[in-house]
Amino acid sequence: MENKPLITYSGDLAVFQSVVPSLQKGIGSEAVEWKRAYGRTTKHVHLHPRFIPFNQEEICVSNVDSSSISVPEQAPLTTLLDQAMLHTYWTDCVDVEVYRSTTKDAIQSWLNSVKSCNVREWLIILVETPDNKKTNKLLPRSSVLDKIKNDFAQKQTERCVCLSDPQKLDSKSAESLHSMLHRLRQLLLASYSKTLTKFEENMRAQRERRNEAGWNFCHYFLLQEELAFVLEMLGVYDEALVQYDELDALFTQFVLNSHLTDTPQWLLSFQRYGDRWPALSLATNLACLSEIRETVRNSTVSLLNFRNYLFARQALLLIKQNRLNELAQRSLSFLHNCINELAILDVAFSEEGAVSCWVFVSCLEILSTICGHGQTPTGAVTSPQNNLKSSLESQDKGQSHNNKQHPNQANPQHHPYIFMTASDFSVHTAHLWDYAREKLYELGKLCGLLPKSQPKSDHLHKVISLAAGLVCFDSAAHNSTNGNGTTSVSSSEGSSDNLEEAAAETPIEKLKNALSSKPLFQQYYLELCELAMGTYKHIGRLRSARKVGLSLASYYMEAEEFNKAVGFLVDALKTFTNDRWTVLVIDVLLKLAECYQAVGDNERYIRTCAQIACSKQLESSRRNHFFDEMMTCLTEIEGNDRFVISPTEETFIINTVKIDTLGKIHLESCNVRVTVDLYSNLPRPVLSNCVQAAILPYDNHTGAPSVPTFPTCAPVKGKGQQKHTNKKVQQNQGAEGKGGARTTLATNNENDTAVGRHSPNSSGDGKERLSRKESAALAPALTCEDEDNLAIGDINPSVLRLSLMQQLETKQDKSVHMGRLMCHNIHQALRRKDSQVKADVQVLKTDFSQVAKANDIIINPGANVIVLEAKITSPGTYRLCQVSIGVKNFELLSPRMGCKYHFDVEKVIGKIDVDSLESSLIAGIEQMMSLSLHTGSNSIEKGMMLYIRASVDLQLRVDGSSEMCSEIAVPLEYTGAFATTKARFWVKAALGPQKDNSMIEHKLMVRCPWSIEETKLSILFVPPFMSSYKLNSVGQRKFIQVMLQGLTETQFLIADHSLSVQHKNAENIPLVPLNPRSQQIKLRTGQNVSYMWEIGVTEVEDDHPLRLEFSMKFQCENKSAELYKYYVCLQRFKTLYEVKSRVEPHKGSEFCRVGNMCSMFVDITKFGSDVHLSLMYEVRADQHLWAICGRSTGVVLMEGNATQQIVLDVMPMSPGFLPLPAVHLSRYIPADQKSGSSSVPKLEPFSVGQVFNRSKASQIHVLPPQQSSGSTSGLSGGSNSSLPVVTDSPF
Amino acid sequence: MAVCVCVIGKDNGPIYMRSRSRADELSQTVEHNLSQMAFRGVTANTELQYNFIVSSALDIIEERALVGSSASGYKGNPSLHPSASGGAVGSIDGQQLATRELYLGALTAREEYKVYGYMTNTKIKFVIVIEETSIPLRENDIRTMFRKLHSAFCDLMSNPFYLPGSSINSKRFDAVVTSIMSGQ
Repeated sequence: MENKPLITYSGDLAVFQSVVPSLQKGIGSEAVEWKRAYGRTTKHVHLHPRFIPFNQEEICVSNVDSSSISVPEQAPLTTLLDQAMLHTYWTDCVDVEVYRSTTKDAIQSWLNSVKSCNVREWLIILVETPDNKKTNKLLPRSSVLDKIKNDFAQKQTERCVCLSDPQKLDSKSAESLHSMLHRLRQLLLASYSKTLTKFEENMRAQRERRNEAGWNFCHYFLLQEELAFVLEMLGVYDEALVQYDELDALFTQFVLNSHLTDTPQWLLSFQRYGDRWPALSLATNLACLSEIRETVRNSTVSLLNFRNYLFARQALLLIKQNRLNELAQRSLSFLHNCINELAILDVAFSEEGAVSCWVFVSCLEILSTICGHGQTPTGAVTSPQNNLKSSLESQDKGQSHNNKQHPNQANPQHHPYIFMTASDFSVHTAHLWDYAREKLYELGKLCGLLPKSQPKSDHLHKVISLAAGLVCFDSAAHNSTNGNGTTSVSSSEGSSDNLEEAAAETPIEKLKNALSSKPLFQQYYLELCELAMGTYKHIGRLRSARKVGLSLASYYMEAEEFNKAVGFLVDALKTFTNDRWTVLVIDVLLKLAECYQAVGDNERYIRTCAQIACSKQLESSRRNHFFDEMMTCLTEIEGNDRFVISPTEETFIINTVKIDTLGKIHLESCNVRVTVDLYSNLPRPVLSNCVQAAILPYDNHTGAPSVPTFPTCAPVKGKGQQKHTNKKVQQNQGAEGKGGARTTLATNNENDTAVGRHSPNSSGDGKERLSRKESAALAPALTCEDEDNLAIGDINPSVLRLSLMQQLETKQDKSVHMGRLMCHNIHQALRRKDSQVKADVQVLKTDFSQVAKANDIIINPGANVIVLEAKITSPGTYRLCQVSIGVKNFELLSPRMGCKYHFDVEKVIGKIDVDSLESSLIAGIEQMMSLSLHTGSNSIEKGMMLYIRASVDLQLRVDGSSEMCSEIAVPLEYTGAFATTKARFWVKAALGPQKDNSMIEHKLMVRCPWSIEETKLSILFVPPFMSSYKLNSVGQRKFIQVMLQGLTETQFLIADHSLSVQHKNAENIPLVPLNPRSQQIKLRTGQNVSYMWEIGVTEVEDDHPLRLEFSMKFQCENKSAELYKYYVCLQRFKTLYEVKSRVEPHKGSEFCRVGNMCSMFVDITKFGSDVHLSLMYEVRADQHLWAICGRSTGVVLMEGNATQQIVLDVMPMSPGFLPLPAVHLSRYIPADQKSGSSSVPKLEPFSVGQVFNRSKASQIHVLPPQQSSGSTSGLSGGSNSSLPVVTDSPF
Repeated sequence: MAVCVCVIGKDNGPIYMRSRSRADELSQTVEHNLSQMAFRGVTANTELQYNFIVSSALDIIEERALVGSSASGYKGNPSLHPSASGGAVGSIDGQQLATRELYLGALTAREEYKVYGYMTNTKIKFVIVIEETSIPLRENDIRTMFRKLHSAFCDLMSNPFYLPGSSINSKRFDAVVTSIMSGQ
């Protein structure tokens, strides 16, 4: 039955009956604003009252009864629900007379009896029927209503209401009905306010006495619950809940205090009933609850029952407010709190496991309620699993769907919770599932249901007694046979509900089933594990899920289903390894090892053993044990082709790798020494049959273009799928390189969100999504190349090259305002890098075709240095890619090393150089020279030849015996690689007439034994000397002088000089040597030699060139003499004119003086017969010495007479011996010749020797100007002046 | 009473773990027998058990850290607090609070213990497992414990010989943890 506010009625029953339908209908249709005392929030309340006849006895007597318990004097309210909150009096009296005679008294007596009630609120309703009205029209002023008001409600006129004509449907009567209803509601609420205030006061007073002796919580509980009931009835659920929460807190406080102080008497009752552990029932079954209430009233309630009841009430109120989430949130702490209280109160249960039973059943009950709410408000109808699935689905589908499922949540008052529920449900349920699982396991253990235990009779007994204790008031009908009958009172009521619910398993039945047999227990347990794990994963609590997984694995291991256990263990291992939680990792590893051993998976067993053996946290005995296990296992599989491959990660840590190599191919190969500094974590020394390091060509091109598109260089596990997508995008973009990096990132993000959007639509199943996530993590995402690329990416700095761009900002006048560099990939470059780069667990074996290796090496625990050797045959750049350590058939692979360790191997081509001698090569003599051969990577066998070809005029000879020729082959000595050998041979460069000191360059074409191509070498020769000649004349006589200038440090002996005419009539020309014929001269650098011959001129016709050959022999010490020839060609060298000039002072003066004019006489004498008659002379002098006055230039005709004299005026400008002004002659060809070849006169110079200047070097003594006073300067002081002296030139 | 104190590095690996062995903490009560049985069901090693407890508490620390301050008001304490409008208030608070509170509140609870978390701004996590006893510890007491631990950790970090992120091996730190665990 439902509680409703009570309103009494009395007076004219017929009138009331006629109105009551519209009252019932109308009163609850509108909410009333409930203003309350103490500043509490105003609520809107819907009232649905029940009308009961006024019965003074009943109401008052009940009051007296209840009040007598606590406070008899004041008779405060202790119950509220059965209190009539408003008393109404109904009348349709219209006649004032009638009123006066009867109605007034009736009302008066009614009012009197009302006044004696606890609640004294009243209302008089006067119903005006239409026929009554008519009669009353005449006397409107003194209506019955006025009378009533006047008589009873002088101050409270609102207590009298007139209801007009309820049968009619016109607006007036509707309005009056409306206002009547309003009045009714107002008064009812006012009555509640008043009553509750009073009630609360009393309640508080009661509570204040809680520490007094004789106070009973149970009674107080009932008192405050009364308030909660009323609030619930009024629909103010949240405040009703507050009442329960207060009670809860109060009780908790009592329990906690009981531990410290004396336990109050009333609390002792809670400690009883250790033989029952009634299950929590959240069904909204009032019968069951009132049953417990009854025990509370009797103070015979047990703690569990009380807690169950309290929680059930709280849950109910929460559900009514749609605060399911809060319910979920509270439930776990409720369970914990209960257990804690049981402990504090020392409640002893007759059976071990009773609490587990209670927890398990309660968990399931709560879960089924939470999950089932909305679909089946009564709860506990569908099984929890189905509910969970559907709730998971609904959560995935999001909020909108959720709203549909729980339409009540649209209530705006609790709006915030709508947003919470969708995601937060499982946050709390996960724990509950886990809790239930744990408890079931405990029970299974107690009852011998675990895989290994054999059920015995005492196990069976335990099951029965545990089940017996699990009575619930709710399910009493079932249990009446084996229960102890305490709940039989409710059986009649409860059975109807139970029949309905029989179709589905209640939590209790579930527990009973689970404990009934092993297979069923397993089924339930696994189910719970799955649910707990699934929910944990769903809310992203991976570690908690792993913990459940581990429990499950333990269970499987107990059941000897190791294969099933492995999966969970591996998952857990991954999670813990990620966290680097070594203690947990070892624990899982130990279990894994057990599994692998049991399954016989040698490969994994060996790996796991190795891992365990390397765990330092473990005590050494166990490490040694597993090490031995590993070795025995390895011995077993020895000879097998299969290799167990595992990452080195924990076993061996490679600290440093050092590469030693010359980097040059020595003959066929280049030796590479790789020193690996490695740390072994194994507890004992181990013999490695083969340690190798893979050597791969270092290819810059494979890495660079593809890598930049990896946005980060952190290949963290579990992002496998992302990496794949990345890769794909990257391929599409091709070699776009760095520019594509950002777009890749963007696409990647898009992709991620796409996945997020996609999955709820397509599947909506959380589990599926989870599994997909898992599989993505497991995917063996990387190929060898990828991994390498990633490894390169780690190191290669070009991957993160900054793309800087210049940016100029200009002002309005276009002048540069600011310039800056902008980095466009700043996000990438400055991205925070994960400092813990984790390689994928899966290590792929790279190409080990080219390796540096060492065999049979003992690796001791701790640090080791291992030297690996390799021979590289072809040149190139190589990198060490991976290190593999083989122990029998167990191969441990290091992570990829990327490009960190690389080296170059080059093949050096041989080289030939000209040896530099201490002195340079000299042309003209035979000399030894040598070539250096650097073999490089090649070698020279004995008997190999070096072929040399010389350029023209260079002659070669291998040794002293052979002939000089231009092409030779030099035999070579045996020479190894990277050595130098010399090839010696003789050279002689021809020495022609040497007019200057320029070097003579020659070329050698050399072909080495290891190549077919010729190398061009250039060598330079220094000439030993250079030669020149000079023609000298004295008048008509001619002399030729040949000069040799030494150019080398080497001294040469020169002899046998001769000069011969190379002419047809050579004999006719006499050459008279002036040097002695046998003269021998030594010549070296800085020294000159001259030879002189006089040419007999008269016999020579000089119109034709005269060729002279100078020859001599030169000899370097202890070498054969060589011939040197030099040619001189002479033409037109005979003397044609002779010039003679003199300067004389003018007449009257004896001396030439500075400033005095002098005469210069130039005599030109002609020899021979020159066809040209005109000569042009030119007198030139230094301006500081001479001033030439008159004609310095002129043409002279040399017709006939042999001598012509020209006189010029010259003036000396400075004193001293002055050279005479020079006279220059040239042929003058006048313009107007007959031939008319030219209209301009021409000058033609004479060739050397044709003009002989007799006074070329003569000087004249010039006196300084006279000291000067008089104009007679020229004549005075002549005594001490000397005669002009003319010194003749030697010629 | 704190039974386990753990410091977890920023990459989720433990760098300090200290727990009181359950053996020297015998209790006659039924629930302790039960809980011990429960432990034996998984493993007898209590030290290991604490590791598991703290490890799974990490899940929730991560959750809290992700949601930041907005969650702390709402999800903070699973124990009873009858805040009808807690959710709404919490979310508003979350937007206002710029800095995250270091104390993360109770993370998980079991029958016999409660796990409390604290995270420094450098993502060092402190986890304290408090045994559920008859005398419940106040929130403030727990905060004090964490503050003590944090300042001890700061002192430790100030030591130039301590390599951040490596496991803690310090007498002084040990002493602080001992004092926390003995409830001083």
